[in-house]
Amino acid sequence: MVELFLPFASFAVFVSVVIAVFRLVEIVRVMLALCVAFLAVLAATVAVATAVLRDVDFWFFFSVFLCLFLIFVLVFSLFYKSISLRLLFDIHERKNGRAPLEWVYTESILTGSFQRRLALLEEDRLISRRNDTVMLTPEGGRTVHRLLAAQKLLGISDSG
Amino acid sequence: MTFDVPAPEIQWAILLCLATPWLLLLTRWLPVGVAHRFNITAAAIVAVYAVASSFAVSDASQIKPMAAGAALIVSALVFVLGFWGVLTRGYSVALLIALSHLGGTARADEIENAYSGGRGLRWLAEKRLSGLASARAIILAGDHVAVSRGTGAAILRAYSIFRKCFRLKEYG
Repeated sequence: MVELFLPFASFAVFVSVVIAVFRLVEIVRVMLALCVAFLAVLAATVAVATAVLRDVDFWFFFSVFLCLFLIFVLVFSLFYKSISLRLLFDIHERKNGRAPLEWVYTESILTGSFQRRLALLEEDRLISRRNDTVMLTPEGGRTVHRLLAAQKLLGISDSG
Repeated sequence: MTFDVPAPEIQWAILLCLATPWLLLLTRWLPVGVAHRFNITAAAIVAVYAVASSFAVSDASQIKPMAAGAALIVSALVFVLGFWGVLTRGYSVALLIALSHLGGTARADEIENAYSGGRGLRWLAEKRLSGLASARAIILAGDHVAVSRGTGAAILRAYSIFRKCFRLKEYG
């Protein structure tokens, strides 16, 4: 019974830790923070379980905990960076939850998501901006090179 | 906690997890679109695991390693799906590639038009609106769009809870 319960309990601890950290500190490297929190909770649980619980199988615990963590990351990414969800939110924020299609394009996509994403890319030092001109940094150039190589390898012709 | 050698079901699952990206790579020669290639890979991996583990299960005590193996398979698929999603649908990725195709320096409006091989950001808006409409999250009526009361409102509730919980600065 404890064996079945343990990965779910560890996952609950992980989510609590992440919520506490994100509320206390402004996190820049979001995915890195999630991975560090996962590894910390994994190490702590294994240490405690090794000392206290003799009959728990590591592989069962690790598999279920890893699965819960990765599903959490997938859902987190969806809520964090999804253009579609942000678009839905922007429409909802308008009067009566209705918006003209042209407003969706000019305000939500162009003025909103596009500018926010350029700011994030600039924060990550992949691009630099001067007035209305956007430039790839050397790091950005290397990143694009790697992305194009991965797309070519996997046979992906375009993205977006 | 015990650290025994993993059961055969888990060993099978680990092998299949390692095979997942390679199988996805092989699907590039299939005459199907990018959207279906991940689904085909996932179906193949799940089918092979189901067959392999069904030979291994002999009694009720084997259910636990089978479940652990299944969790590993789901983990691998979710992990690969994350990368696949970024490479095929990633907004930042497409913006960077558009900028690169423009020679590495461009005005914002040039990137706007060069986005996704020249389809532009208007295409992106239409595609995302169409996806939301298919999911019944929005209702398209003439030249206006509205959030649906059922699915759309439920998604927004979850989105609001997420934003309150994690207090993230930038989103979408």
